[in-house]
Amino acid sequence: MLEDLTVTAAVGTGRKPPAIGPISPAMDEALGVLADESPAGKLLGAAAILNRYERCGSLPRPSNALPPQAAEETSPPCSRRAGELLAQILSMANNETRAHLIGEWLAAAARVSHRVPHRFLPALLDYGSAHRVARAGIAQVAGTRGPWLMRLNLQWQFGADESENPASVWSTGAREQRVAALNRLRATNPAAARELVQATWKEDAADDRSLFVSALTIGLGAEDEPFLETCLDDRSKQVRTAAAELLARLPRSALVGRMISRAELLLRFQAGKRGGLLRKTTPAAIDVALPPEEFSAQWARDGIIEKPEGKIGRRQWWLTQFLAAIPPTHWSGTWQVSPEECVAAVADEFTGVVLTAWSRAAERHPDDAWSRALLLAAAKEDRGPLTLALLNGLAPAARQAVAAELLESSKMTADLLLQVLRAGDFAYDRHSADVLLRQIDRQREQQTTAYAYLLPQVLQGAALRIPPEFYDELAQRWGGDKWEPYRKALDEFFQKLLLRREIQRELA
Amino acid sequence: MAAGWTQDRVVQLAPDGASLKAGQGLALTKKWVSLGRDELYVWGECQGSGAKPYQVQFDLSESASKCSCPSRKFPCKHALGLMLILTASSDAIASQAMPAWVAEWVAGRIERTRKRQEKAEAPPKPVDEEAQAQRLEKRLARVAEGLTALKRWAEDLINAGIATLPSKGYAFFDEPARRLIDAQAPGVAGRVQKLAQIAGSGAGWQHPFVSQLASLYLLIRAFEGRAALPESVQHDVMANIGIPVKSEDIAALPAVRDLWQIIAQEVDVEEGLRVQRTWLFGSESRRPALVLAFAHGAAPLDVSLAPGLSFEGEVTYFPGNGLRAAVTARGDLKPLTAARGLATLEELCAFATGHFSQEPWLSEVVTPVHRVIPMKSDGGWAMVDADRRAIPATMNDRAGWLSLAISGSHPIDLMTGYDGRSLRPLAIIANGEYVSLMSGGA
Repeated sequence: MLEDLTVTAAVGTGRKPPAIGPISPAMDEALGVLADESPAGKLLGAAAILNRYERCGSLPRPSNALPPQAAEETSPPCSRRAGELLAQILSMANNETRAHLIGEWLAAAARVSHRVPHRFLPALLDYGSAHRVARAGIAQVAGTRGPWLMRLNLQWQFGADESENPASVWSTGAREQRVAALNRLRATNPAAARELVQATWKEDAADDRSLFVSALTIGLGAEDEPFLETCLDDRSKQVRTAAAELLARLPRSALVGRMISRAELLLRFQAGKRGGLLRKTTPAAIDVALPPEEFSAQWARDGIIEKPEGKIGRRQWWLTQFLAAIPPTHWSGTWQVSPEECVAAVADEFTGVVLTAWSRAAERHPDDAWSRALLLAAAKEDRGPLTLALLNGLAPAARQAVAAELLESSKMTADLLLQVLRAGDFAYDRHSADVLLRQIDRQREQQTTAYAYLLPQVLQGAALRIPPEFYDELAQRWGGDKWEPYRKALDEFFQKLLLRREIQRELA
Repeated sequence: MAAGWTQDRVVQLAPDGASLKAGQGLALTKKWVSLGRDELYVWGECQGSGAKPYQVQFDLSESASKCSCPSRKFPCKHALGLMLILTASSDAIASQAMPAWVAEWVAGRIERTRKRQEKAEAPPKPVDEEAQAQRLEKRLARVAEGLTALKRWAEDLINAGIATLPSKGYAFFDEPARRLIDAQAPGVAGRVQKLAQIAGSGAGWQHPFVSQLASLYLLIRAFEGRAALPESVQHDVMANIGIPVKSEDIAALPAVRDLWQIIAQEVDVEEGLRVQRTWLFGSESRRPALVLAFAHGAAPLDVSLAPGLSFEGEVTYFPGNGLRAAVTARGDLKPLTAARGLATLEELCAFATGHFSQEPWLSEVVTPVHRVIPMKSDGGWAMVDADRRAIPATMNDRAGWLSLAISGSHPIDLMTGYDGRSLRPLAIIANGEYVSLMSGGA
């Protein structure tokens, strides 16, 4: 009836008079009062009456479509305050700081086995669907309600495809899905993953194959060598390069062995001599010879690039590549000297070439002593490049100690300070934090131009890395006129530090 | 934590996002030269860029604040910072005796309250009743003129057919709406603007448009024939047209004493005027009440009634069958940890029918409903009650997923509007916690 009236209204009662009733004796009687109205008045009056009739008469409809109930939670929720902190962090601007703080919150909650209160789950799952790295942490604190909720929302089903059978994804999926499935399977069963790659090797395109080879980085082991070695003879250059890179990371691979035999003839260690006629000490030295003039096809097969990248001689360039594949411990072991002595003994004219190569080698074959020796030689004596990425390969305790040693260096500049902070996203312990803070003080006192510019970034990095218990001490120490030019940056520093302290206290 | 104050409630006080962010920046005790509190007030001195720190004080029971800073935001960032510190941890601010500058402010507030009460209790000034009646007569004559013109406009519209309205745009409705403002019928002007919105709302607009126009038509006709209507309906007609009720008339009406639950609050901006609707529900009387507050531009709204709290007190309904009311006496605000309302959706329908049949222009009732389960149903949302009966719910996906997350298909208590067709979920109480479903709330 109301629908008919709406149709009539659309056309206009001038063209089509409204038809009203009959409905029921009672309604017809009620509508009867409109008998003397104009057509438009009749329509509007009838619509008003029917509307109210409909509105007052409606009832809920039977329903049986409820999803199953979520199971009871087995872990306690975090404190109210901890939840508020999470909400505050989630509402921050989308940047690294937020990612860091969310990671810290999730880790702290997981440590004490607290779960996220239900009301914060939608915002957190939204975050997870946009930020892959946070997903594992979210899964740990989502309780039983999290997975229940995720099943109902397509946007949040980032956990679902991870449980799919990798073999079926492998045979039917698109390239990205196959790589994702391969990555996941490598983490749990590297051999099965490699067999998947080999199974379809002949059909797959070169672009795909090089991606699949690179995916073997996860869980790389000696068992992968025979396959990778065959890849060195692949038609595709991309595949050969990818395979050579992985073989260069396997310390006992035949490729590394070949590199050793090429380089062993070129580096010669001469032990230092003490005493002698004039009681003069001759320091140890490493003599460096260059590879032969002629580029070998065997080298190319092992991934050596013939044409230099950058301003470096051809033969020096080849040497760099040989050395960069060899575990640095090979040299300290062969010569029976410490990494420090090795670094110090490189002949002056070759320090750049050899130490660059060794730094690259230390990235491929991490070793605490070597990484430390290379980093400190660069930071304190300007010997070789400062490869801060080496920090990340260090064992946690060594990393703290080396970071502290780097920061104590008298050659430290504001720029370098920022680089060290950014190189590793790890928590500083009390000692290294203390060194860092004193270095910040020293830099501020020197008031270089670069520092004024870099300080906000340095503070931002420090706020996320130092132990938050420093808050009280720093609130006393940092402030006043000397800090006036940096007030805004300092306020933000304290705000973040306080937030982190609260996270740790609420989730203790 | 003091008198039901939580971080959420402070966040909701913030006039805008920038103020909140600035307030969070000040929520560091090291930025404060002094901080103190007692049972009723909290205060502090915040070091700004000037030599003298800003002095800010906050009345916990009235949500009122004052600061010596020049900001025209209300509450200012200093007041927000102070309250964020207070609600962050129970021991952040120590109880202590009030310093002189706070005591002075408090004395001023008490003095003003006393004067207001005296004024209210003083015998009313002799009113020239005759002049008042004349003024009302004159106004009603203008309203009548405006409504007659509007009736013709509506009839012409229906006669000619409404099919082409969306192409005419908002401008088509501006002129009649403006004339109704001139005719001193602001309530009707608002309804005409609503028509413009519906006409511009896209596919399926015709049905709600005819309903809205019919409702307006009913109001015009009721005004014309008001002499024959019962007195209470006459009041409803006047209220819907926008003829204000005199405050002394309300003061003379009987008040309803109850434990009042503040179940929801929303703020709309209508042409530079902010309108705050606060929904109350009487625990014993089971009556809904709507308290309105208005503020122009950046002027502060009365924030003393915050959703998710309750109070013992008196509410006086405006004359007629409507839900509009004023809080005339209020005890301490306490957190609302359990709702008291209607048991099933069927009961809600019956309850709403009672109100809709009394006051035909009432757009919705807002009540707590116990033990309902939110559910996603083909493209939309719905609520299912303990009897497995459902009503569709109009809410955005954010609110929908939030309610689903909190419920997990287990029953929750829902604060909801109901217009006779669908629910408008506003808030949830689950496990003793009140959570707003409106955007802005955490």
